[in-house]
Amino acid sequence: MPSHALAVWRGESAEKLDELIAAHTLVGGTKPGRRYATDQLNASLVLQIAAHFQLFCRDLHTEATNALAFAAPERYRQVLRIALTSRRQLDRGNARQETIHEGFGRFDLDIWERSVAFSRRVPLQRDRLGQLNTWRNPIAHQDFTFSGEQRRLLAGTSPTLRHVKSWRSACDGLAGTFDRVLTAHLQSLMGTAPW
Amino acid sequence: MKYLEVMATKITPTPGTKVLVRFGGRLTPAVLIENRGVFHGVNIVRVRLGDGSDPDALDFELPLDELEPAPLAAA
Repeated sequence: MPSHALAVWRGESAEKLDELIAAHTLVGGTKPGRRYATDQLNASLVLQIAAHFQLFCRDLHTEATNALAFAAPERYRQVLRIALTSRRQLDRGNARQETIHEGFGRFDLDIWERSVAFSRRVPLQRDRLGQLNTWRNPIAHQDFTFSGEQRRLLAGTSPTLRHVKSWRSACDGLAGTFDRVLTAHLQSLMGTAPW
Repeated sequence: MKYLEVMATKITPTPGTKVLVRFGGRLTPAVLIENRGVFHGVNIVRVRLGDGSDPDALDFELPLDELEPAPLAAA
């Protein structure tokens, strides 16, 4: 059974992203101004995909915390909740490789190592998530100054619909893998299915 | 519990609401900063310790029904 977080990512979040992609299709034709409109939609898609994927990661983390807390004796549930959710980096920054590792590491899980073992697509999906987040911040702050390392990561990419779709697909793949990996990990800790 | 008592203790999950949470072995003032939504029937909220003036104060998640209303003078 998938997590509630994955259901939201594949339900409400997917619907909202689909609406933006549908709007992209509607802005058709060759009239002047179309390029500006599609650029704005692509920029919005980058921000929205990053935001919805961050929401997915936070929700999955909260859901896992909830499952562990309810499996624990009532007298120290709150101790667990505070330890697992206080100052969570996923609440303050993008869902990047480091913030994801920090969040799920609290469950004594190296989520990237397990995910790579689970699916050989994960390294490419992780790179694409990095590209998405590296485009996200300049778009949000309208400052397109990149470091050398960022330029290497972004080489050959641009916030166009083709790349936007590949970033969304990468997030979708990671969401499914994180869900499976975390579910199995919690089951091994709790001795029962977490949800 | 009578209706009025239930109404008196019910907390609405609205960001900015001042509450009390059990932390450090006592009830501590905090501010509800985010309604995270309902997870498997439990409404989870994020709270930050203090009166809301320090953005770096400790924040964490708890079920809404584990919060206590702040005294009226502090709310």
